[in-house]
Amino acid sequence: MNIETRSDALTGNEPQVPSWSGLVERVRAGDPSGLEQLYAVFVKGVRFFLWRQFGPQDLDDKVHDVFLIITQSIQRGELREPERLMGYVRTVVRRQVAAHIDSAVAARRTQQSLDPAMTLSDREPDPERRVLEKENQDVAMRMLGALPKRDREVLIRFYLQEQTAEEICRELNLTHTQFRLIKSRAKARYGELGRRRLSQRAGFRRT
Amino acid sequence: MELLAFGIMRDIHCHADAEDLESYSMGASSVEETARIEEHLLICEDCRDRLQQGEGFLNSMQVAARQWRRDEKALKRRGWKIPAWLPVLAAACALVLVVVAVRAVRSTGPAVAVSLTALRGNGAGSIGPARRELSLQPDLTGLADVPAYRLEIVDQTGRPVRLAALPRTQGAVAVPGLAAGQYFVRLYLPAGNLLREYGLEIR
Repeated sequence: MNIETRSDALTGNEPQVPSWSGLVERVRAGDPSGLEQLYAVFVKGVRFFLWRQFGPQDLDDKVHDVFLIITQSIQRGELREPERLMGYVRTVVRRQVAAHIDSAVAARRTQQSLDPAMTLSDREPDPERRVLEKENQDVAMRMLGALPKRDREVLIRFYLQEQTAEEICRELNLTHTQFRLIKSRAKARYGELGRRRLSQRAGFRRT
Repeated sequence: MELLAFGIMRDIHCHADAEDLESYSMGASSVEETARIEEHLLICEDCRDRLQQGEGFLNSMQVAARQWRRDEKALKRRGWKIPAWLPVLAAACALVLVVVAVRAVRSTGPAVAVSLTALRGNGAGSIGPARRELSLQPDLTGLADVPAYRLEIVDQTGRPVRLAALPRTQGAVAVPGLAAGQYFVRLYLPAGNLLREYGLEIR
């Protein structure tokens, strides 16, 4: 666990991106290096979004479908503003997600037997993941228990009751800086407890 | 950058800050902010990692906070819960209070004069109220003339329950209240000779 706060947010090391217009031009021209670069730039991001929505089932096929759609539409000249390539990719991914969910819902409504290709995958975590989540929850619980009452109330209101920062600050008479400080301290403490747990586990393995 | 034309958007190639990622995870970002973050996430592995770490924290916090609230409520309920034995205890206390009060009221009343005339064997004898102070006035006719007699009250098993001195000149003795039952009042000479025994029924 390594949770960052605004103060220690990532700086520098921004992703290296090509010239979108040049890339689009090469894809449009059918240049294999263009297709390759398009794939290299976006494949992880596209996989990431599709995995978040559907899990690992048929992930490669879905990623492939997205790239097919993007490539074909670029080659048909449908992307009029090459600088908007990222937005376009995002839109295609979202449409694909929506379309897949629609067809899965329709299939469930009309079919008695479930076609695995048309179902939304079970997103239940595997046992190992479940154990990890339980450990993280224990860490969060310990962290909550060690906090002063007001700080704990802030976190519960924000993360559980989903009150806005403004509401919390108003009701608990806090400044926005205090609010952010409470949150960032909690995240830092959570990260610290998590790291300690991991190091304890590593020590256990060595013996 | 074209996106900056929207005014509210920052450069897509700059990393998202933790607060923005958190808002995004919680579904609290605006449409424009969501677009900016998602477009950045498409090309930035660092921010994808940070998003996942942040979501791990968020999920853990939500579960822990929910559990904390549940525990708080349970604790509060336990704090205010009336134990099952409390009504029984309260009823018992009330009963004891009533009994004590009744006894107190009865025992604080004026002494009731009871003339003792009937001897043992002639029926139950004189009658007096329970739990009230009694002023016993035995019939002393024909008894030896001594300054004072010894007066003893025994229950029907012969167990002494009261003892007093009865001055001949007063002819009466005050005795603390007795429970309901059959008693016998014995009159002795100071030397211990039994002179007379009266029946006394307390109701």
